[in-house]
Amino acid sequence: MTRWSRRILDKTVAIVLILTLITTGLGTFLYSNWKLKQRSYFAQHQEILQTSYNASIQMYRLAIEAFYANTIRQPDFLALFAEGVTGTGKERNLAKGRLFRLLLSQYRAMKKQSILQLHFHKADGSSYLRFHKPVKHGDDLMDVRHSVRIANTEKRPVHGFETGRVRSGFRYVYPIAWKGVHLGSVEVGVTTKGIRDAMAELDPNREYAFLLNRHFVEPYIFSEQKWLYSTSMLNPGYIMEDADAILPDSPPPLSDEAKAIDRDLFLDQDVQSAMSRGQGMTVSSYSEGRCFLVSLLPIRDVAGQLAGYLVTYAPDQVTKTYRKEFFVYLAVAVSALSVIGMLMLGLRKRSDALIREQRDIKVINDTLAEGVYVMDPEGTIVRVNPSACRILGYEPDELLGQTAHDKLHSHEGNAFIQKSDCPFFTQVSRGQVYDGEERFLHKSGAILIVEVASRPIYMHNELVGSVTAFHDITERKRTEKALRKSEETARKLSIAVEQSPASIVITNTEGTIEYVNPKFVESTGYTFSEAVGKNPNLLQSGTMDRRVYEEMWETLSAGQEWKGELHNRCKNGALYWEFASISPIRNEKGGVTHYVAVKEDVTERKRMEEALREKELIQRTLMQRLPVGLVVIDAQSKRIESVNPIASELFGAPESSVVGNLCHQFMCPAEENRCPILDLGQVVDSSDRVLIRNNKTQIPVLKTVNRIMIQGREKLLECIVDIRSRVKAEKALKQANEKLKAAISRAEELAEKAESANRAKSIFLANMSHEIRTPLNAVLGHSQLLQHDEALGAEQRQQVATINRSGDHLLELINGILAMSKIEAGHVKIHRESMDFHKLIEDIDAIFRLACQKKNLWLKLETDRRVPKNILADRGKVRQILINLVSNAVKFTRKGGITLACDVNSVEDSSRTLTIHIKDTGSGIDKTEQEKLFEAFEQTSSGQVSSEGTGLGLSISRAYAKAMGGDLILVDSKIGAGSVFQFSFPFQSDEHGSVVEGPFVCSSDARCPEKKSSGMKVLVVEDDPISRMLLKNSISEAGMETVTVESGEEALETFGPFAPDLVVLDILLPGIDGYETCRLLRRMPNGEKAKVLIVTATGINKEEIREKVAASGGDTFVTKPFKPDIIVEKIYALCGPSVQNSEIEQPHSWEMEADAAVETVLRLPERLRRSLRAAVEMGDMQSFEVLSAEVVSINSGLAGKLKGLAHQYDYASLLALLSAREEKIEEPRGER
Amino acid sequence: MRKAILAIVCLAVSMMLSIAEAQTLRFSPLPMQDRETVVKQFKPMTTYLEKSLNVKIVYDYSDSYAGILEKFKQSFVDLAYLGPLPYVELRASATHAEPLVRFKEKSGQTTYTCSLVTFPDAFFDANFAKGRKIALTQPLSTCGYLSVSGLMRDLGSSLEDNLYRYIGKHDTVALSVLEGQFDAGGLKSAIAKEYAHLGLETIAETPPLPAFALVGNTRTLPPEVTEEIRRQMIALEPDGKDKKILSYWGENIRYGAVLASDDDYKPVRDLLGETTIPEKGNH
Repeated sequence: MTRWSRRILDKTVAIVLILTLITTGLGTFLYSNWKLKQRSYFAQHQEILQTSYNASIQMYRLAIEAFYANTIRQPDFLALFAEGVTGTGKERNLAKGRLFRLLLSQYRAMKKQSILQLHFHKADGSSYLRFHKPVKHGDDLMDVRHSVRIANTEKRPVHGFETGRVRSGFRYVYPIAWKGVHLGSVEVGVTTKGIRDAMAELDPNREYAFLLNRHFVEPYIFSEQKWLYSTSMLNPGYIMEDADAILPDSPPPLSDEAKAIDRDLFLDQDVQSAMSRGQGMTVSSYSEGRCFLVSLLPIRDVAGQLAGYLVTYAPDQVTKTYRKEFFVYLAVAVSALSVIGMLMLGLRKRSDALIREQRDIKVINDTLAEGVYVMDPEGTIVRVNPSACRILGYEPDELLGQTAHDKLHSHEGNAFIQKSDCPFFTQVSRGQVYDGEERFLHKSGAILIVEVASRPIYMHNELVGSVTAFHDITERKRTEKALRKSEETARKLSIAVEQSPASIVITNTEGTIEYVNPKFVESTGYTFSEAVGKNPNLLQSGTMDRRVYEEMWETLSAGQEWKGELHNRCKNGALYWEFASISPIRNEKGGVTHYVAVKEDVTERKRMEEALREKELIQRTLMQRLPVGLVVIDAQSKRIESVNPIASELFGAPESSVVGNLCHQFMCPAEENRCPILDLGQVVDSSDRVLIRNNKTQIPVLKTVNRIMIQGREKLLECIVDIRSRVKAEKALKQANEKLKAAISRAEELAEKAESANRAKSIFLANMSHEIRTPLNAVLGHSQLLQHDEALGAEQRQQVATINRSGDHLLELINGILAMSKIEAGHVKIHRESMDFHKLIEDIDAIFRLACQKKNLWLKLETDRRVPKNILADRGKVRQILINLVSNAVKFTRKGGITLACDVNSVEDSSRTLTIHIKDTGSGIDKTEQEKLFEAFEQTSSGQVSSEGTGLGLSISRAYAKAMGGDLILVDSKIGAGSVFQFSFPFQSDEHGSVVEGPFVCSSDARCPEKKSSGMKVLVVEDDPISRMLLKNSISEAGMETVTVESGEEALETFGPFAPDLVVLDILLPGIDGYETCRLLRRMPNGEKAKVLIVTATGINKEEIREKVAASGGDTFVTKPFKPDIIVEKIYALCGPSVQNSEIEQPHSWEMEADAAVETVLRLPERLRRSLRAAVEMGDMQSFEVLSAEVVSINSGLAGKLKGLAHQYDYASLLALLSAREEKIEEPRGER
Repeated sequence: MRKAILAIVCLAVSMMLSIAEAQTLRFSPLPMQDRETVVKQFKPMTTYLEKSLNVKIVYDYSDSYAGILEKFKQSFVDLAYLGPLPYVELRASATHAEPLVRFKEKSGQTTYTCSLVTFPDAFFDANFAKGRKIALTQPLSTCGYLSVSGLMRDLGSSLEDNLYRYIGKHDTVALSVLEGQFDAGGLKSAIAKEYAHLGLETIAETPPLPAFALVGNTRTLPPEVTEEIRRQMIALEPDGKDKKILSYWGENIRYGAVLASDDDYKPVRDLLGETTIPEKGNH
């Protein structure tokens, strides 16, 4: 590369400029070439269009000339035409019509060839006949139609483009002359569509459009034709004829692409300029990514004026290709030049780098501290740097050309080793790397230890030598040796420091920590990195006096060692004590360079010291403040060594007066040689003693002595407690205890009395019930019988009735009192069992129906359908409450009636409540009385007036209702209007419906009207007149016909004529007994049909009775005593349709002998026996029944005995049997 | 500048919307002449109505009268240019056909006449014509069978005694007679006169008949549109301010218009009477 070119290359700007110039030039060339080719192509295209256009026009000209020659110039035609143009009126019209008729078919044929117009003109230029518009004629064309004017003035054929009044097109006009006379002219017009179609046949790839010069069209066309023209989008100076191709003979409308091109070219100044000059041109245009070649061909009319343009649009690839070629060539050229430029720039850069590198290497080589020399393969030095010469003591010339081994490496240091044996040389000469220490010979003869590194030099894979770098390490070796020794020492010190149990901190003179050992890290929590660089004051806790630190620094600054304790803080905030010894570290000149602190954690020691002080303080405090006298006595001398203030106070002398005295001077003077501890060998002595005070007075104390060791000497620790107060309290307590014992004894006595009284009360209540009821039964029974005694007068009968009623009232009152006693005692128990509620309502109806009928009252019983049939509730109490309420309603109602309505308030079984409203139309209750209505023994004024009731019925009913979880309230009541009571109680429906209820039993006050009219005949056989009377009355009351006899014989006599349905037959009869009578009756006619109810006496075994009854032919039996109702009930049971020869259980207490019964009772579980006794005492016979059921499972005989006694009201025997006496408590009757 | 751009955008949008909302009316002109002539005649009128009513009118061209009437009945056409007989026939079965305006003749009259024409070379004598070829426009053309049969009856002959054929348009009738394909023909007198310079002779002419009308489809056109068409059409002043505009219009419609009603066509109904117009020619 020449110097000139290098200079050029050195200048990048110049290179870029040159390349830019070359690129521009090349681009210009390519552009010119592209445009040249394009212009040539456009010109060719334009030429083709011109040729095509001319060919099309000529084609039509030839055809029309043939028509002119063959048709127009024929004599027949010429004569007809001449007749027309010269004639007038009808003749002219006729000639014209005939000419029209003559050529019409030809014209139609010509139209199919796109010849639109066939037009004849007169010689004066006026229109003669338009075949294409027959109705238009006579208009003057001379001024507007150059072709017509020329044909008729110059009398020569004219053809070319021309605008017209109707349509524009290509005209071919020929003059018509006949017989030397110019007659006019004929014009054949070809539509633009015709020319377009002709051109399209020649070049179908183009799209054609004819633009008409607005200036030559608009002034001449018929006004009605103007709508057919629209302004060209290409150039507004031009218009298009039927651009939308409305008319069938119009060329097709321009495509959207052509229209888009027109819009583009409208903005093209070149195109617009060429059109304004009337020049033709071809341009390229792009539409929707496609390239089109647009050619504009100017069309001159017959007058040589610019009549319009023929515009063609042809898809073109060539122009696009030219354009593409240009850009490709340009891109290639630019790329190539860019690459060249890049290469040149790269070359220049690399060349510069090489030069720089060479220069740098030389500089490096010269300034390198390492000695470097280069050897050829034979080991001859061919290059050496100054450092090598300096190290070896040679000048370069002394080394160059010398064999390196011989000059430098063969010496006594390595026993003048031969080159061939030298591992350094042999390795290097084989092209291998060599690193190591060698000994080189200095020029002065000294042996130098050098560190060498030798690398082979290859050129084209051939070893051409080696380069060896070395440096003198003789001094370093010496230093290293000394250093190793020093390091060993330092290492030992370091280990000592690192493993030191004390914290070691080294700081500089500014106090900045430079080193801490692991113990420091462990003690403070600061890591090495955290501590280094910090000041030791990061450990300061802030609790130390500042003067300590000031004194420390003063000491250290004076170059002295400082020792002391520091209260520091760890990283985690914990405080600790350490003992620090800080010493200055001096350099060889004696200057302080560092401080080293050796610190020992003394926290534990300090803590122990503190604890010790605390302990001592506690001990001292205990001694001083303990409310117990403490005395320490030397065991050997028995002298008091120490006393606390309490002890001094007890001794009545200050400590100083007490200490040093013998202990016996104050305590146990009598036991001077019999000390329990020292002399008697006890370990501990704790006993009440007497302390002798300094004033010789004595006080009782509790002294406890322990043997202790203090500082190796045996001591006695005596605790003295003043027990004067305790002694006093003990005396008082003793007296109180004596009083308490007396009180307890008294209380037990009273309790026994109370128990006895309670039992007596229970027995009294039972006895009262029984004792009152028993005579009452007689009173009621006899008074009832007396009422039926016809011997009594009316007044007497009334008196007897009063007796009977009073007896009833008294009985009810007793029952009520007993019930209230149970209620008040909290002994009301609810026995939830399955019951048929609907049946209960039916029972209520049955009970009160007759009573209501008697008083002309109506009784409505309404039960909601949601009320279940079977429910779980206390049947007895519900029944009792309802009877009480309805009974009251009937009692206090004189007219109207009673309504009993039942409803449930909820469908959820868990919370269902049955609500019963009892509404009457009775006398009502005054408001003042309503408040006390439910209180015991409170009666309404009407109740008092009626003298009925006990005043307990409603209070008992409400108590029962509440016991069931429900309530009984008076909802409403008005005087004279009646009352409404609401009885509600919760219940559960019994889905299983396992209701077991006995047959309905009519009670004395609950009549059974349905069964009164039975019409049965009963024969009563009873010798006892009272019993006979009772039986008769009871049975007659039930509506049965009754006949009584006193003996069995009479019975046999009466049986036949009377023909009874049933015979009530007593056993113990005068004459033949009942069994015999029964047997005889059975033998009588119809004797088998009658039922026989046998009445037996007590004291007979039940099984024996049953056997005897069965043997005699009796149907069933009943034992005495009995209630009259039982007999009626038996009769119904025996004769009723649902009872077939059944047996009604009767109480039979005689089944078991008394002794046996007592024994059996004693075998009952105590719990059961107590419960039975309590039930009888409280009159809770329902509980009694339940408990009896348990007895059945143990001993059925005993159960029967107990039940029998209960059913006979023999509560005294029952209680006696159960270790108690009581009578059955009947349920109270309704009362208001 | 920004406001100007915004205004232009708004204007453009409103124009686009107005174009989008413009109603399109389908117009069927009676094919009395060739299609080009017919379109040329009516194009200026439809352009005038497009601008006046802000509607777009498209042509539904049919070559037969019956085709137009059928389209009208089925409401495929909103507006039609009909002669009196086509209207009467249409109205008989389509009450939604309502005459809006009737076009005046060149004479200013609102009536026109039909003529029976011939070419002298045909030697056609209407008084004794039998077996001659007679060109008729269309069955439903007033100047067709209805007029020609009446005129020949008046002249003492009968159309049925001759060979008649429906050949379409009025000018076709004129040209076919000129050409010699038919001996005579019936067409609108105004059109016949245009061919008189070619020797076409009028043999007879009917009494005045109600002029051609613009008939609206009340089933598809809202009342306000029909009323507006009426208003716009009768507002034209052929001898006044609209003279220039109307000069572009076709010969048959450029002389103004008057309001039309169904009662105007009573003479046609009377003329039609019980006449049954054959749908096809007899040869």
